[in-house]
Amino acid sequence: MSMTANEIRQKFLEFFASKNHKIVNSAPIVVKDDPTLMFTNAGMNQFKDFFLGNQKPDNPRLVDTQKCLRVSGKHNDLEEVGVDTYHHTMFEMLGNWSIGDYFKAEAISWSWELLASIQTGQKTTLCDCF
Amino acid sequence: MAEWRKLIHPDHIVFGNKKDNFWEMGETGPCGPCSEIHFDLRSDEEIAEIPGKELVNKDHPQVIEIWNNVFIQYNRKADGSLELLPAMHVDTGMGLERLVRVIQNKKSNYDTDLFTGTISKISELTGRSYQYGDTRQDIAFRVLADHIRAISFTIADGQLPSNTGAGYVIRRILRRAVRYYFSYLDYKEPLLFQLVNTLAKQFEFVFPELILQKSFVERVIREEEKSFLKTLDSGLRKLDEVKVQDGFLEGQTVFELYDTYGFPIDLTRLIASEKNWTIDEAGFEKALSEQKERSRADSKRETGDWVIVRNDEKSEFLGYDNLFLEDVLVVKYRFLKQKDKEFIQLVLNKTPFYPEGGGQIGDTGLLIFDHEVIQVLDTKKENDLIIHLVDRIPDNVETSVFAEVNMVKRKETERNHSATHLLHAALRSVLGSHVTQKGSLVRPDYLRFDISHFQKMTNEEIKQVEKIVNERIRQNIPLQESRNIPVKEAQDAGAMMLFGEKYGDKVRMITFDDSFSKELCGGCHVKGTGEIGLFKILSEGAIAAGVRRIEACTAQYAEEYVRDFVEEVHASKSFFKSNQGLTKNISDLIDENQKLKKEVEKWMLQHANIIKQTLAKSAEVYRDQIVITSMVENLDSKTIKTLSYQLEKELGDTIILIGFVENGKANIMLTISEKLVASKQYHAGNMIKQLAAPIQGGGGGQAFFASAGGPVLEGLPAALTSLKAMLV
Repeated sequence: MSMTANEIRQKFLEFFASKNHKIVNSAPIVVKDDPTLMFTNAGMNQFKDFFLGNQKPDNPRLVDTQKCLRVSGKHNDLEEVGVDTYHHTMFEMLGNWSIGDYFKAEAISWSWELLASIQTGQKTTLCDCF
Repeated sequence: MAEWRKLIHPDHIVFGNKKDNFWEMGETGPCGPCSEIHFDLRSDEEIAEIPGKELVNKDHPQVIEIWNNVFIQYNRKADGSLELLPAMHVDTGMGLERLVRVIQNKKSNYDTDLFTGTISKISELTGRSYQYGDTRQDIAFRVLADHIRAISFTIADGQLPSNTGAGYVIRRILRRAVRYYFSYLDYKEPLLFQLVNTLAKQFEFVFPELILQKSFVERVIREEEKSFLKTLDSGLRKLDEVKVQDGFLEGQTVFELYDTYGFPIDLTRLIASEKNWTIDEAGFEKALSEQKERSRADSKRETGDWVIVRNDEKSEFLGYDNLFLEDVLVVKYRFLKQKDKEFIQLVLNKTPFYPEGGGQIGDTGLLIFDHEVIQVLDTKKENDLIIHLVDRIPDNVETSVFAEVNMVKRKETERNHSATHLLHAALRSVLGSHVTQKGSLVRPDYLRFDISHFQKMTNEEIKQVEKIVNERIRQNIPLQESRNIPVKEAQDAGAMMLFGEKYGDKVRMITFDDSFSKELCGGCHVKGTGEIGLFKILSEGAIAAGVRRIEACTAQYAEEYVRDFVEEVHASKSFFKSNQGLTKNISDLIDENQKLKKEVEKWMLQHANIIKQTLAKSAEVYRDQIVITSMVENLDSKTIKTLSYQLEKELGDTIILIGFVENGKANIMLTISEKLVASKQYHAGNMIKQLAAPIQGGGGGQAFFASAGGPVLEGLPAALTSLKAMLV
């Protein structure tokens, strides 16, 4: 029996918590105080000010699952959702963040470690880098 | 790249390109290179044939991106150039739905336990089964299973369906789902709201905001569904009435159905194909893009880059304790063009100006640079930056500034904000604890408060709420403000939590009496409730399913409102001599008026009868037909028409021509029995034109009845006598 969705989500959060990340709540799906955005469309939205340097978080390592909504863009045209089997309006985005803390080496080795530790059905993992 | 080489075989590394592997937040802002992890879910044979490397980012359904690691190191500026950020960050994102599909080894996201619960509930409700395929019915299952999530969680986060902005997006998603079950699952009643329970339970421990507001969310969805199903019904009827020439449905008509009636275009297409009509798609697209262009032009907004004045400063809000500050410095500014007007946005190192938030409008006031005074038109928050909107840039931005909030406006706003908290607590005690805040607007002159509540408030309830709030005002309860306390502490203290608010770790709690009102709030408040002075509810009404809106005002605005009322009552009283109370006086007056009206009607009827008899007596026989030509006074045209019909019925083959004056105009009215119309080929409509010549009038009508009016009153006798000459 493979893991349930609830178990998978929990596993992700706990993995990064074990790497000293603080588990935070999802921001609301409706965005306030940002004229350029109507809905949260990525996990990083609520941390935008951290990246811009306007604010500093209590903990420089964060992890969460974020409620997101996308209804426009290349793969997110509302009229296409449901026609195929893998695009959605609302989705959850799991994410981990370093705010001026760790960088490429840790991020990549941890994502590899986590994926290797969960029993996945796929045969090959590919990486696309720039 | 080097990091990956340590971990995996180079065959599995793809050298990406700038398009796919450079991540940007938007046109401007933080950005950097990224490293995507893709999974290849194909069979061994397929992989042997084409290596996975060749299918990355090629939209292959089985070779998919799972996780993106972004290394943020630059800031993209408005001119397109990149600048290095002071610190480097990591931002990653992995779609849970895909990940679960891979781990649970399913072909489709919809086959994972994130969606199967909802899908089987849809099955149970519609009696149809999901076949995992591409039929319209299967698509409908997926559309519903997907859309109910977006709809439920957005409403739970405080966004109600509406006609603009985010609310309109939700309405569109909901309507798309309705269209699918209406057309392809043959379900004609509200369905979506019945899925909320399944979803709420599934997410109980992940996003508890849904289960906590379940009945509210269900109610809102059901009402939206109901009203759209009604729209569909009337649209279908409208389509039945539409005139179609040669099986070609005009693009403008399709657009009108879509735009005015909210009738979806694909449903129009479906029905058109059933009826073998072709749709003028080009015409529709044209109308649609014209409309889009109009709305784009309305919302166009351009922002320039920030011009940094000082690098090391932070932007701090000190407006809870200060209404003015000395030695303020400009940190940065930028230009903003909106609807062809130029503005400047300023960020200060410290500010007394409250930025719009929590329903409270932004402060206005003055910035004094040396001797130059600049008006602050509005203050807003963008993310956590406080932005002052001004209409020009000072000559010397480097100098220190004296910042002063418009104190009168701020004080008035504070009264209304504190009154809103008292109102909220009073509503919960009068109506029940199901009442939660659904919206709030706090202005200097009035306040607006939206709550979840399902019935209209009775007059007694409104009175009760007003009474409690005013009692609390008179108690002059001092403000207790706890800044920077942990969320948990506030929650334990019993503070009212709002759904859909982004709380930091530390919050601010506003208390007026420990046992009465405790809310998390970032707004500005009075030091003691006595400052509010007086509270008055102006109106109560529905704004959406299950949401009531209360408008109220305080202090001198409430005083003015009450005074205007009292003055009006005094003025009304002065019309009456007796002193038995205004209500009694007015109801007596209404009774008397009713009595008089009946009396007048009675007399009019008698008058009409007398005239009818006189007319009947004046009838003469001319060439085998009964002819009446006469002037009538003191009757309106409607009564004269009725009289003419009655006479014609009673007397038989008649021609009646009546002259009368109405609203200062000469009028004639011609009535001819149908028998005479048939036997003598009369046509009243044609005849009246000739008859109206002496009054210089115009008119027309049918064969048996016509009327005309003109300015020459003296011409009426001539008009009447000219009839006989026309009779055969």
